[in-house]
Amino acid sequence: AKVSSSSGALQLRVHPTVLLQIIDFYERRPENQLQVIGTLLGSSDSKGQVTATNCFSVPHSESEDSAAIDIEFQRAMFELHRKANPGESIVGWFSTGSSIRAPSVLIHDYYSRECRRPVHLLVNAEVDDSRPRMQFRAFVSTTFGVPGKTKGTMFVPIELRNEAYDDEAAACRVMQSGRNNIKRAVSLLDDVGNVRSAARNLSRMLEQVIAYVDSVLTDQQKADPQLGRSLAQLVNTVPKLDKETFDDMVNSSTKDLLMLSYLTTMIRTHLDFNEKLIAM
Amino acid sequence: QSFQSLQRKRGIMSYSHHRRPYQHGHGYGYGHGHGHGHGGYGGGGSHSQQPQPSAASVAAAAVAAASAPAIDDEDASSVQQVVMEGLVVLKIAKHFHEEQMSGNRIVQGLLFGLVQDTRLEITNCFPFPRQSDDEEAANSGFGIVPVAEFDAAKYQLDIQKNFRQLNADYLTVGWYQSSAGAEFLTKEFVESQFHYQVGVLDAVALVYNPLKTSRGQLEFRAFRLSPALVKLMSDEDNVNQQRMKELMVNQANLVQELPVIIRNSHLANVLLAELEDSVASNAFSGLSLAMGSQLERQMKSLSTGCEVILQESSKYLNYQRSYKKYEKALQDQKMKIVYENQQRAQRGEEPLSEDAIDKSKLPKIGNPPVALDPVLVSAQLHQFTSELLETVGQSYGKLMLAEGIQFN
Repeated sequence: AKVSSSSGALQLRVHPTVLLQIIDFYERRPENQLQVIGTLLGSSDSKGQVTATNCFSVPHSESEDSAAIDIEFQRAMFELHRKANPGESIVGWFSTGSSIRAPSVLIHDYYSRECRRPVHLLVNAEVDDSRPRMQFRAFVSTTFGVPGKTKGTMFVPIELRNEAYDDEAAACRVMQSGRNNIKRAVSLLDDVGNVRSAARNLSRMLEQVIAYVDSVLTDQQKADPQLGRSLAQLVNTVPKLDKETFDDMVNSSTKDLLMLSYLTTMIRTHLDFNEKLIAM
Repeated sequence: QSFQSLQRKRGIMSYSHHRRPYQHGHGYGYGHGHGHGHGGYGGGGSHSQQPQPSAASVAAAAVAAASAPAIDDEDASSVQQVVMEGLVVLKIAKHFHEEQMSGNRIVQGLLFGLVQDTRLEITNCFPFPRQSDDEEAANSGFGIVPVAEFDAAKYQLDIQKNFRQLNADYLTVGWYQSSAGAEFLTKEFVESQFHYQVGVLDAVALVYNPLKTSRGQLEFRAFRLSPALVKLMSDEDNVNQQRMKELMVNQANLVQELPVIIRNSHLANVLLAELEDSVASNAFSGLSLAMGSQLERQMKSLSTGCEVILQESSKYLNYQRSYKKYEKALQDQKMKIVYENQQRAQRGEEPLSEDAIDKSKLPKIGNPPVALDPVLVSAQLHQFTSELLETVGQSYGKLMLAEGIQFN
């Protein structure tokens, strides 16, 4: 959404670490509390893009129209986090819930004292059959009203994007398989296992593509030229080597690998041997 | 009263210039977890500095329990499996990524969670700040804490206090460390894990391998010291060949690896599903055939390791030789005295005591080589070999895959 230049922050980029932590805090909230709030840590650049890379929750209490935060705790936690990672500073705060509530203004006020133009991240984690998707929204505050007379604060939505380091993205991808498992367990595969599962994924995707091509050929589906072009690209990227060259390549690589495994096993035997000798 | 005998020493971190050329030396500080009904805490008493060229001093943790039962009485930990939450996975990956920008350091932190039956659940973690011996680096304002000033125990207590308020688990169940490939079995690693294990019976060391993450895989391995090794190390002045033989500590018996699985709550899985499209990563980057640099690196570590083993062996041989000489000289002197005594008995004089042996005439021997080191190095080498074999297997699989694609 476009925002007027007065509010400044144009975009909030949030890392999956932050979201996962918020969910965790939400699950661990005390019995009588409906929502959790906490501090967002990260960095912001001069162009108004704010990146949130970390967060921690802050004990608070709120009622219809007032809110109280444990300020000491907030400061202490922030100090701890700063020791661990000095590059992160307070960029805003988060809250769970379905909509902005009156006390949010007060909390936002507090955070305005901690950082310039704090960003407010609202996460609606109440998921059920009627509302199967989680909602994430980001806001900044701006004042409005009649100049000189009554003024109020308004939360203006800003653009929210998910961003991740490569490591985080890879971790998320590996953890996706936990959804299909009854025990929700993701076991980490060793090297060969990973190749196997990647190969399985690849073959599954190829099957889908082949099914599509077949259905187009038998006139069951309309041919999409866009798809056709990408398919042609796909086939072309497989390097075309004649059998001999390819066989040579495979053979020499295999020989290297065999040599390595031979050497390694030999070293291992030597080690065991050495140990027995020393023990004598 | 018993509290006073268990002195609490400050946690000291040190960056040691390790004599092993292929590993980063890194001393660790630590604290101890709050007791949560774990019986049999070992007495973490004072730790004497080992006579080593590198100065990796690790301070001892205080024990919360009033008495320090003997290590021998402790039951082995009943934990068979380690369960991590996705949260911890992401935090560690992020921590490493951010630290890595400023040099390839080993990152460490604490793990928090709880123990349930045979499972050790890790539900949260917190990184240690960067520490360095370098005065300049410390004052440069990048938040690098000078080694001498960092109070690890207090740091840990602060974290635990705060976590408790947040209703998060605050029992320290271990610590984590990143490592390039399989090189983590250093002396400091073993010592740190020892101190953690003494404090919390089920403590594990979680090793994160970031190299695999860049290839699209995740590797977390959990280790703990075998009971035999714990027994050996608990009696510090006596770490020698004999005890090692008694307790059957050999390179296969140093550490036990525990299987690690990742589990997320239902809500977290919903979140991950939401993120599936927006947080994309190349699922097939691991299938690249370019394993050359990887294999090279592993071979290099392997060869340096072999050199170190050679050195240790020759040291040991030298020691044996000089010890033999010493023994022989001692025997000779004893024989001389016996002979003297015989003669004196004949002449009716007092026999000489054995103390009359002139010690200064005996050849000098140095200290016996530290017995644990070669075992450690060979265990490390074993890790390297396993890693290499794995990579070889993987490369072979990929080659087969490529072949299949070409000719179908």
